[in-house]
Amino acid sequence: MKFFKSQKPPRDYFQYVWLLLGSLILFSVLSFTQTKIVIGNYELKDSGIRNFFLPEVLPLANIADTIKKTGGNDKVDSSAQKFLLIGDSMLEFLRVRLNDYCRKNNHTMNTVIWYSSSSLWYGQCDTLKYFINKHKPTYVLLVLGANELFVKNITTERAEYVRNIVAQMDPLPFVWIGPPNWKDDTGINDLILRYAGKDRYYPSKKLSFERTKDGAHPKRESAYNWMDSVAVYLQTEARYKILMAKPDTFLNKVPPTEILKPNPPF
Amino acid sequence: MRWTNIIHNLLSYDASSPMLFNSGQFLFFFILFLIAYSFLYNNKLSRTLFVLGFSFFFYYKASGWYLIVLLITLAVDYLLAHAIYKAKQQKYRTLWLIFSLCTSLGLLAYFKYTNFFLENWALLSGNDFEPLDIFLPIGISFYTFQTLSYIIDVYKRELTPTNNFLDYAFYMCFFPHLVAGPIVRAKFFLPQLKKKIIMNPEEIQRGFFLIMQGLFKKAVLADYISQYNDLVFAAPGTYSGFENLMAVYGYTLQIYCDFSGYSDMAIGIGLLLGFNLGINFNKPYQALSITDFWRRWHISLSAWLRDYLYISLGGNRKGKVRQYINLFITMLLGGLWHGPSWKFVFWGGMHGLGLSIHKFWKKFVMPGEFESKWGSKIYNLFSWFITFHFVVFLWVFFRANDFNTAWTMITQITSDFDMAYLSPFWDVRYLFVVLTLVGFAIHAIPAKLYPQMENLYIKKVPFIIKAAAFVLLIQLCLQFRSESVQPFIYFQF
Repeated sequence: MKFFKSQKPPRDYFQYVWLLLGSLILFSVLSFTQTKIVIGNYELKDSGIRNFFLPEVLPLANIADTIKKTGGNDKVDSSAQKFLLIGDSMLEFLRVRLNDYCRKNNHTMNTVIWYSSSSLWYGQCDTLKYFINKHKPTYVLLVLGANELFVKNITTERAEYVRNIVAQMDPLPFVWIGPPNWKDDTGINDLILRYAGKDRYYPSKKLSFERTKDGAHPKRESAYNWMDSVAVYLQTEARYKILMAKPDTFLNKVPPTEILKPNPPF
Repeated sequence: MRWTNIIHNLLSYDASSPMLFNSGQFLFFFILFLIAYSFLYNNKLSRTLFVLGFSFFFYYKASGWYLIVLLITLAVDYLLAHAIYKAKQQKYRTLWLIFSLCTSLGLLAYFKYTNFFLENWALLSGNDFEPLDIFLPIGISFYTFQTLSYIIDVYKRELTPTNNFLDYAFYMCFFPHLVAGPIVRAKFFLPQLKKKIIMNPEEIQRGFFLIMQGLFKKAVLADYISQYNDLVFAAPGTYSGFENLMAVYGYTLQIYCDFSGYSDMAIGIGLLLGFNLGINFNKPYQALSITDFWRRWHISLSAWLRDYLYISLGGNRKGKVRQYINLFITMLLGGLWHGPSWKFVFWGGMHGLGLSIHKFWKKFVMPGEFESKWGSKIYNLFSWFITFHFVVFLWVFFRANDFNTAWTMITQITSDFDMAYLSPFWDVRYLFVVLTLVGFAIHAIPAKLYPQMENLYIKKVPFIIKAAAFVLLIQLCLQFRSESVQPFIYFQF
């Protein structure tokens, strides 16, 4: 009995095999050569094939601890704060819980969500500065980084933007709430730590989250716990320590929010 | 990274990134598979061994060592089917049948319903409930139903069990339908294994068309719109009624695109390899009644429930009242099949109630057809509207985490609805709106036009355009995907 028989499938079969193979080769070449294709305002996303074969191993940020401290307080400031909570979609539920803290501690807040934003977007425009000028906060909480967990060469390509973002917030008291990683990132947390410093960067990645079905956003309860942890950090570890007594109740009320379209600023 | 690590990653099971039809890994292995298949498909033994080997590998990459559970089910039911067939006395036939049902359903009950039963038992007895750490093997609900149909058909003497274990294993484990259907009947599939495979160019083209269609539905439409739906379903109380309603419509499209997209890909891959897996969806949201809906939605499951549950309960042979009760019970259990939760039981029960009411309506209230053409059109439009929104309403319970969330959502829609949200919603979620409209528009294509479109693609479109469309589709999938591959909704069932 012949194990292989000579009759071949029709030409159409091989056309599609070649099409699949050709597509795989095309996307592999684009990925390995790290070719960037930009059409209008959109940059075509990479297939991630290179990252599968050659995952980037990045050194931990090691200069964060050496950043010279300017300002800050050792005692908790119990005065009423005016927060600007700004960032990407990860703050959807954080804002609800922060609203509870504001009511409890006599703080007030303004919220801005820029969907799909990243350091690339905030770092290339003055949107952050615009909202700081508009609302005149006494404290900025920035939630950013989740949309760039897997960006290649991030430590070189986005350093400039992260530095610019920090510069826009300086000298105001601020805390950059790091992204709630669902996988190891390629360096965004290191970058934030490097430019914000340990006492202005909250490493959300150390927490474990229950996620919504998209696998990325924390569920409501999980986000509330996240905010509770950030609040402890703000009161005990942040450069500018403020009163963040834990509220006893959950109001589940969404504070007024300004929403920006998920479009890049360029 | 060393090559040994790369090969290890490629070949081993990773729970955080199982191999699915819409993953890059599948594309890689599938190309290798197709190349080898072109040499082997003409020889039955080599084809069977090769496809079986790939199917086991596919299942291992999707579900890990739960492959062993599949193999046990496979071996036990093959032997039991023969035992039933060969038994001379009816009582032994029945005994073997019960044994088989206990084995298959026992495994399903253990993996899927243990925690559900324990939780409810704890609730009734007032004890604390600590869930057991039980992983649900992917596809167990599907292959259990498939093996049950095989065993019951043999028991009813409607099918002669195959003497070839490899054929039986091929039928059960053929990778396109293994993990999420369609639930293929042995009577339909086994004869295909005996025939010489003739690869028809038109069927190959049709298969690829279906794969592309499925990929678009799943990886572009369903995965993108799920991101908004998930946010709202996670906390409906924090969104306005308008936003909640959009999420409900969004989920209605998402679940259709997700599951029918998978079915399209499965059926398309089957056709590419020379096998017909039947049809699983037929524009369900065009249904004019709930009975019609279930003839169009997840057809292989509906037919299974009808043939092995509804008819076994007596069907419509024992009077109208009994028919309604049978419908209700069938759908109640059909609901439970979808998941170990009361919300699925409620969802199924409500569909059963809907089916019974429709049967009653057709029998006693509106038995005939409209004489006037316009009267008939208006009646059909009204029927479609009611049917569609009945289905949409019940999806809320199907998707919401619990009854409270579902009621919150419904309350928000009914008490906090304001069309003023339309403009800001469009500003922020325009892509969600566009993709949802595109999805419903594709679904709304009349059934008569669809084969013509398919033929147009097969016969008129030059290959170079098809190739460009495929590359564009892959890039679209990359643009719209979230950072990790989204599982298919029906994998959890």
